[in-house]
Amino acid sequence: MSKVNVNNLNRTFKNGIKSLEVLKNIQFYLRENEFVSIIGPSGCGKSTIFRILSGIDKDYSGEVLINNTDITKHPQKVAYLQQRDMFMPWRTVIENIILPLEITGEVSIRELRIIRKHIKANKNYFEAKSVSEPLNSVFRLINDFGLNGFEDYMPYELSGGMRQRAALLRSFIINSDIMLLDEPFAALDAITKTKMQDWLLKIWNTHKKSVLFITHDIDEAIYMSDRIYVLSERPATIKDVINISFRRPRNRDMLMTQEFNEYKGRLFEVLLGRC
Amino acid sequence: MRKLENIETTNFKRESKHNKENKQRVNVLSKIHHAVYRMIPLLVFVFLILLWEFIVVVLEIKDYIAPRPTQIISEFKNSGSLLLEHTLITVYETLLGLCIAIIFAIVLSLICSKYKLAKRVLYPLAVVSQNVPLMAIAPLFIMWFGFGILSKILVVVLVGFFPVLLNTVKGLESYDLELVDMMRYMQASDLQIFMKVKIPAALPSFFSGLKIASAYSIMGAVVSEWVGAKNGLGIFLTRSMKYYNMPGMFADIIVIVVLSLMIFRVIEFVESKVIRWNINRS
Repeated sequence: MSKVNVNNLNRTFKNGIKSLEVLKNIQFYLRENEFVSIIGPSGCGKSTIFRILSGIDKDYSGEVLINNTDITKHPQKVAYLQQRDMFMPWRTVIENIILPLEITGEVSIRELRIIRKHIKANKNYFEAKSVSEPLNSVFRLINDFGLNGFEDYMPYELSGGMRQRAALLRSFIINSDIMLLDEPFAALDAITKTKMQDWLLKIWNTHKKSVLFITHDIDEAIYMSDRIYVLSERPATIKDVINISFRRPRNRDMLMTQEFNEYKGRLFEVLLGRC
Repeated sequence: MRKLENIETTNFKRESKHNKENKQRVNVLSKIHHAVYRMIPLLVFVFLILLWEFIVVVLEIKDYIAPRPTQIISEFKNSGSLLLEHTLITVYETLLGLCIAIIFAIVLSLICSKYKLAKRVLYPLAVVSQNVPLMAIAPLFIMWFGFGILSKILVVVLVGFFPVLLNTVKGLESYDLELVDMMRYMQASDLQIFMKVKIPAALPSFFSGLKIASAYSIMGAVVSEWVGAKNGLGIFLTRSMKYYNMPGMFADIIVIVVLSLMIFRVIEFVESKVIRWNINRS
């Protein structure tokens, strides 16, 4: 079953008499439980695709189906992670994370603050008092995302990797099995990035989500994805589609194989136009 | 001394104890040093006052030119109750005026941020109202609203509301557009976006406007009393001046300065409670 289906997508930015063609005839799909990457040069319009899918940008032409529904008629909820981590600096980490639930009205920030206060005073608060189910599920996920003990920090106090995990958790909580991740690891150092990639694959595997993943890191795209769409310079068109046939779960040894290098060579060729 | 050295070299335990004592002594010293360091502004202040006293006494300067600090202190003792009476009136005018100004400014800035047309209409009017000198506005208001406290309160409202309005409107426009995008795809309502993004984003500039307004407001009250009033620090000042009561004038000035600082401090305190995040690092 296809989760996302994009056909003949065009987007042109108009500013007075100037117009800038960003997306041209984009076509791709994402099936259930798939991990699909979109790779392309900086500024080619990758993020614009996500802005359209998430319903922020409505000024496009073409057909965009999410869960087989046209999003111009019925906007669909997707778990979108923007390129910047977009924390509210006035909220603690946990208060930032529960934002999606607060918007739907499942959790109130007042309730959360009272519970945090009790937890600070008494570590066994969980067992003693019943916490509402949505909030309880968030507390459980905090463990999976390795944010235990950092709930009441302010966002600027966290390290880069931790911020990214917290931001990812916030998107994760949005009630949707489609995740749009826009270069989530671009700002991280190589070591943290490697750890985060494996961690994300683990999370993706246990929680069964369908992921669209924007990156400009070739190794990352091959290592993570089932399929890679390669975009051209602006106006972005789909230059190539590469199916990655590595078995899952993936491991780092695959990066050393002949097959991996063949994929890499092909991607370089398509992206740079020479080899 | 030699004995002490002997004990130290032979007895390790003693030595470590001695070291500990030494460390403690250093600790105490650094604490005293720290306390003195923190006291420096106060010490300089006290020194200047003593210098003032000394100069006036040695050069035999007349009372009506410069009073001695001790005279000012005794002025507080002699006419303290009278000064307090006037002070309370001014405090009342200032606080009430400031509160009305804040409410007025918040309501107007909400309207301005919601309707662009309202901003276009109200902004020039607000700017013009600020450019009429206080010394011209105060007599006018006294002619219209009498010598009572009403005219003073209105002057305070007029000088206080503008800085709050200006800064709050600016603050309400300073939100992060991408944060609003995020709220949108999480399917937040306009009200939720306003409450959770725009208002917190506006708070820092709201408070900086409030601090400016607090400084203006007490000045507005005193100046308009100065022009004509029954009670208040401004009228106490003019009366002291007419009678060449220099210690009285100085006492009055000190009260005004202390009041200003107190209002400022209260606002700073509230600000630190409301804005818990580090603005510079976010």
